[in-house]
Amino acid sequence: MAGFFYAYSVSVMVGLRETSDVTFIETMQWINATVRNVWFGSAFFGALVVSGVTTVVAWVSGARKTGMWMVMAFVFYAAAFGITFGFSVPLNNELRDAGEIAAMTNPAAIRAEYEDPWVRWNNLRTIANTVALLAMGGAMRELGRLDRSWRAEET
Amino acid sequence: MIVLLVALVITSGLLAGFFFAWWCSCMVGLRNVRDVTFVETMLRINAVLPNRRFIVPFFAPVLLAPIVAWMLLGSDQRPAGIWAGVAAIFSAFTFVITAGRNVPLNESLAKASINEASATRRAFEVPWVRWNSLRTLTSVVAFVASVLALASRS
Repeated sequence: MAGFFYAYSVSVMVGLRETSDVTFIETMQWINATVRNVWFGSAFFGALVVSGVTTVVAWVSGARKTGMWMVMAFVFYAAAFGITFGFSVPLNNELRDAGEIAAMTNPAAIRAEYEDPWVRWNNLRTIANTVALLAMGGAMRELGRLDRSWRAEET
Repeated sequence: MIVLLVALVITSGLLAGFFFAWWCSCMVGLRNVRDVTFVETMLRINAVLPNRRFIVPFFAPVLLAPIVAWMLLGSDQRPAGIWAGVAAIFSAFTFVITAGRNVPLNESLAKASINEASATRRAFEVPWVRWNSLRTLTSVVAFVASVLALASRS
């Protein structure tokens, strides 16, 4: 998920900044209309659900260090989730409700209300997701350690 | 050593997600837009890449993974070294696909005329999407291998 929002931060929105208002609105309306697909959904909801479940499993099974990293991952995924539903989705809905570009009397105003706040919140959720990615790396490292120590005990 | 390995995990993760976004979101949305909008959007985005924020995750995995693999194998970290080697190979695939397929397509798009948007788009969209799907796959494999290298290093 970190890389997904990162793509919008460093490529899509940077390129779209240079486009005409009509192109900007048409592109973003269609991207928003098609993003609720199974691939994006699995990654977006999967990261939150799996990190939540893994946190509980790690604590219950006494893997404290792994659990601490996973709490951190879960918190930052949840933050990105909150940003998305609290800010990005409402902005997307407003853009959708603005209707067809052909019927717009003032596309520049519609774009102005959308672009800057959307980009700002997207940058923030990119950072939150990258911190979560780092925490997930920490958890994997602890899990690897545990796995090796269990195997050493068995032999 | 651990710093390099963590940097590899982060950058390969960002890169895999980057291509993933283009694969399951950007190009899916753009499929529905008019030809002029498609060409204008892709031209502008290609013109702003590579930029400073993109360049680090793009070049880091292909450079870091072989260094990390070599260091791990040299310090008797066999399983971790092999995973880093897998990451190096798949990062190289991603790099070769980009340089050999997507970049030439971007370059011919930049030279094409926006007045013939429909023909320009037809020559670009399908092959670009196909090669992007492939590099999404190679970069995801490289990311997973990097995480496993981190996990199996003792």
